[in-house]
Amino acid sequence: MIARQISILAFSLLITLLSCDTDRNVIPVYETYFTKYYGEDGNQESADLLVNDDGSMVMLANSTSQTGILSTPFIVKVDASGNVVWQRELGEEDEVAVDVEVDRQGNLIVVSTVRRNENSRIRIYRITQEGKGLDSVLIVSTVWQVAKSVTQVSDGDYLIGGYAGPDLVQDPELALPEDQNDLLVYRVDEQFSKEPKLESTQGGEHSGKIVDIFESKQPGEVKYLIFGDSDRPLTETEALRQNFEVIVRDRFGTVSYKGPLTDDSQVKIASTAIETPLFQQEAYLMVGSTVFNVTNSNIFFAQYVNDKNELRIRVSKALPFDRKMEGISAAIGLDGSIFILANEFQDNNNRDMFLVKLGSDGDAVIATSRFGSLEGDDSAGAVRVLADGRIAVLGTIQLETQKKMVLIILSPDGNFTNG
Amino acid sequence: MFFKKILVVLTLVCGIVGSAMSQDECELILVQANDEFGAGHLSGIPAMLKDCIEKNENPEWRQRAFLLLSETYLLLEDPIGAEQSYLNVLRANPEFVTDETRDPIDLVYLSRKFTATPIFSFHGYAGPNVSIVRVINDVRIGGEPYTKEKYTLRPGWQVGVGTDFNYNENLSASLGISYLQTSFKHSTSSMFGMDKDILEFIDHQNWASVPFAVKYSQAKGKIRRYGYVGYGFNFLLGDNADVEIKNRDFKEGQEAKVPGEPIESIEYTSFDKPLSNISMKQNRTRTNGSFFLGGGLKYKYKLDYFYVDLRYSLGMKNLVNVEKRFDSVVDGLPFPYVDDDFRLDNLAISIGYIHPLYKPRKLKKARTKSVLRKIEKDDRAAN
Repeated sequence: MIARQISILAFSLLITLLSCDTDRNVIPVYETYFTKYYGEDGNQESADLLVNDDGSMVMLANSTSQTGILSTPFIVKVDASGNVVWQRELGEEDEVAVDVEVDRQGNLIVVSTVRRNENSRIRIYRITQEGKGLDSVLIVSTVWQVAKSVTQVSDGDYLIGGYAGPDLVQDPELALPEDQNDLLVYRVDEQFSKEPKLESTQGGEHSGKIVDIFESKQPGEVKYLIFGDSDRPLTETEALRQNFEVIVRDRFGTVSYKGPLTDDSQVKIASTAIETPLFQQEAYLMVGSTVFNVTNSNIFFAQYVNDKNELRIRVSKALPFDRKMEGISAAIGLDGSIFILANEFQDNNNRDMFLVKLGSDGDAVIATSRFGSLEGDDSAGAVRVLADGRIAVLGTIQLETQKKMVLIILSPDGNFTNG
Repeated sequence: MFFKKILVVLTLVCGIVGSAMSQDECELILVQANDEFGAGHLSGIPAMLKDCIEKNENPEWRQRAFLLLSETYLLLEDPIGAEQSYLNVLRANPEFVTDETRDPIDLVYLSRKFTATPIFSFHGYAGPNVSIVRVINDVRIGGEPYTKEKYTLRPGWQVGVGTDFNYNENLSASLGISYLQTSFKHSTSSMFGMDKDILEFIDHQNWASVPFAVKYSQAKGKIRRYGYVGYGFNFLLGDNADVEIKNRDFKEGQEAKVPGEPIESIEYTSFDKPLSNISMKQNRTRTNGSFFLGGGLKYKYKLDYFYVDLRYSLGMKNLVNVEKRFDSVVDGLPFPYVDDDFRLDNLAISIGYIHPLYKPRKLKKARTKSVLRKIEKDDRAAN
């Protein structure tokens, strides 16, 4: 009996030793979880990531030459495995693209800010999924305007959110310091055939911006939910302080609700907002940073529930990381967990990408991952959840003498394996 | 002090002279003993040779003396003395073989009961090698279809020792331990644009290996051929890489390369950055195995051998730790590199030295059948 067991053991050992790794038995995990770099001549800094229904991805970046500082939008479409389908530059020099979305026809919509001479203007592009430019509109304005996001609403029009320079809405009644930025919404018709319409500016603050706009899903009159930050005080007695701000308004610009955070006295800067399905409720998550002082900040998020077109805060908190952080992007996992992509600042002020996974209630930190070159300045672009639950992170990585886009596909636990 | 030195020199000179003199004396005694043997005066021969056997260490003389004693004891019908003397012949010259045409048949018969074949041999070797990467899965670091990858051979070296268990004159089993340094170069070009960035990744591995082989060797001749097959247990001691990034950007006014356009027409400004001694140990599997086959030539030098060996080892396992493959972006390595899944083959040339441990001994089963047949044949011919 023992001899038989020893024989079996010896035979198994022999088979193990003599077995050879081939493409038949080495599992191609690298096709599921991977890191790939993208770019062209010069430096490319990532801006946004769009995941199509077929699993293909569109990466938006801005390209600068090694010697120059003027950027040009650069867009890359890759298949689900990260292979380049096409890539191209957009627009012109000194233009910064910020957001890419897909419209009702499946075309890509890109919004950018064009800087020329002393002006800063907003441009919107429509591109086919094959990379062919259909048309674009440069919004002519004499004032300084910066785009942050674009959203197609139910009537087919596009709402562009961002901010405008102080000369758009003068607020002579404001105390010093002087007015800096005002919240800005432009409406562009679906065919780009009409003159873009400045639909809403929200003055009354020294500094404010819109990071995202959504159309309310509540029944009744169409309402738009505007997410951003401003230093608008809630009351006359309250001090000016940059804070997350949500505004609900109709298509004519009439504001029906405003809701800044009032939970503490820290400055808060918004970066992005996303929709977060929450127990059959319409909910949203705004992510950014809470700033303690010039050298210290942390990731901050607030989750809102749309209660009859009034955005109620369900949870808001700063994450417990004892180092300088800047929340950049967010996504919701298939199990409801919250992913926040941030910049982590090193002592030399260089950045690394930092991904944190939170429980669906936003309370517990489940996992963290850090990406980036050891001594380079790397930055977060966007985080998305793929249809099968994997996590896609787009960022910028400094490869010694150049910066390139990096696409990182991870398991829901933030690993490069199934384990 | 000076006198002490003179005393030492004198002692050495006297020793050498004395030794030469005793050698000559013993040679003379052996000649006399042979004469006595020829004259049939056998009984006094062992006593004649006794003193010289005790003091003369010359192997050639001892071989002749013990051979004479063996023949003497055979004729004196003292088998124990004959066997003991023949064992001493083999001790003096382990490779001594009787010759039926030269030696008396009874001595040949006696010799078939003995062997001096070494049971164990020790060997040591050193030499250069090259490693051949065999890609299992091509893993791309970028998504561009025109990015090219190429592996280039790099020199390494190995040193090792081992022991052979000799089953018989031809067949042996070998077990050793060796230290290898292997290397390969993995170049990735046309990154971030056609004919643009190049990354050269030179990987150096240090291995400890325990090779086990079954060997077949020729048993005769000054130059002997041999061949073997075996399996090596390989343990990765270290892995370091040197990387050079050639970030080639177009010169001012130059455009990206159009497919089909000659490369020479494009001018680049290259921002090169070398990085050295980057540890890749965590990106590798630490244990591996290799199936190898090889062969060579042994050159007989006195009782030992010099040899030249050529060995090809087929790496069996993927060298890449797939769980850590993409950790460069986690560990902060500032270059766009990713390992393919690959096995590492190795072609090694070694020059070595074999020292057989001869062991003269009586065989449990004597190989005397052929001698008996010859004796019977000779008897029949005589009758």
